[in-house]
Amino acid sequence: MADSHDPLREVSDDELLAVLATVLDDGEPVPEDAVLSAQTALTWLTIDAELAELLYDSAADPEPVLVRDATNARLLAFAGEELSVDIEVQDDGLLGALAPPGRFAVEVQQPSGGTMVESNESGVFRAGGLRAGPTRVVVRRLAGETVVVTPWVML
Amino acid sequence: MAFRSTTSSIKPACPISGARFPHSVRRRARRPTLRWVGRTVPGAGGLFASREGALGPETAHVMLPSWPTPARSHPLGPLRDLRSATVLPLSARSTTELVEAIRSDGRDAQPEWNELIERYKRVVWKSIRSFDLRAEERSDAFQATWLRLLERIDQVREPERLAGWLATTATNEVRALLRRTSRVTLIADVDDRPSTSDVPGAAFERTELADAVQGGFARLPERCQQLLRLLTVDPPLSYSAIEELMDMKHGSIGPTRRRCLDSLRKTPDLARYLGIDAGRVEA
Repeated sequence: MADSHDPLREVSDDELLAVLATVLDDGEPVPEDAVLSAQTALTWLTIDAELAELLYDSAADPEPVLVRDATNARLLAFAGEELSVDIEVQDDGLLGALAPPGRFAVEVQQPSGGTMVESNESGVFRAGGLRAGPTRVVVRRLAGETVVVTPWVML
Repeated sequence: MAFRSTTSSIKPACPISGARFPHSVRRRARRPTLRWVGRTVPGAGGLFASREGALGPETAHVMLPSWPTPARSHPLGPLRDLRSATVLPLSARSTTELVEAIRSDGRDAQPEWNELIERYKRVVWKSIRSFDLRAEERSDAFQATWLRLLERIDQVREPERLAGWLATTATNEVRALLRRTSRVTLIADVDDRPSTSDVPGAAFERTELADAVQGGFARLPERCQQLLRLLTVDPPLSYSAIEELMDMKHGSIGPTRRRCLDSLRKTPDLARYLGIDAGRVEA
């Protein structure tokens, strides 16, 4: 097939990509409810809050067998300037511990809403009724001042 | 065995459940290596300067903080310029201006936030769409990407490069989601999409070539599909952003792109369209 005209080059790379862009883009409009959920995310904007750092996530650990406990629960550890937050994910919620321990107002936020709980003197709190999806923890003093906000994590 | 029990005995335990964290957690702690974040952007001086630059001095006054708070319900509320009685479309504003508005007005910047989503939703969706996920997982990853942007909005240094950052973030969110569920990552088969002709209001006429391209694309290897998807996002991604997303070596996109497009041409669908004979296709 030593044609002087190469049928492989009949449609140029750029032309092919342009057609591809139309075909691919047209086939996958972004669903309206996804766009809406992104728009309502603005509700969760917290400017000036101290963002904790994710120190550990057992789901991202390369050696899961050695580091997880027998129940295989997902463990997360966050550190803020003032407080650290450790979390164990349970079936329908999470168990958390604040260090140094103390009584704080804890809000577990998901895009669909927040669950308000209070930690005890040992800094332990428990929040239920959660679903899979983006989740974060906001810790406030009982007087209302925000102490720390964790980054969003995918539960 | 002896080593393992020794190791676990020195790991700190979760005070509540007794579950153990690896002992190296605290020492391993480091700042997230987001290349693109880190410094708070300059304040009002730079902000207003850039707005004046883009919109002209006549319209810059509407952005001053002392301006009365506009009606939230009107989608163009904050942009209504009362002096010249014109309405500036949000689409006329740069991404930098939108990001600045969200930083300064917070939750009151809903129109700007919506415009930002409108501008970049396709690049985010396409990044997510290149993984095999259930519909609700896609929505979660999509939403998580925008939540992450809000979380880091104070640290965005180069808003005009938002497309690449969002694509990377979306991919990371998908990976986090897949790690959580311990599922293998697969590139979705295009066949589960509605065909173009089923999409209401499809803005282009189906051509024979488009049919062939769509059919051929479905036959391509995963990596080619993913690369071609990323090469066709709108707004476009830089080659360096794509290299990072796909863990490709610097400078390898050009040759890979050519190879993938040639593979596409040699699929039976395209070959038939181009009039290439079967013998050559096999070879």
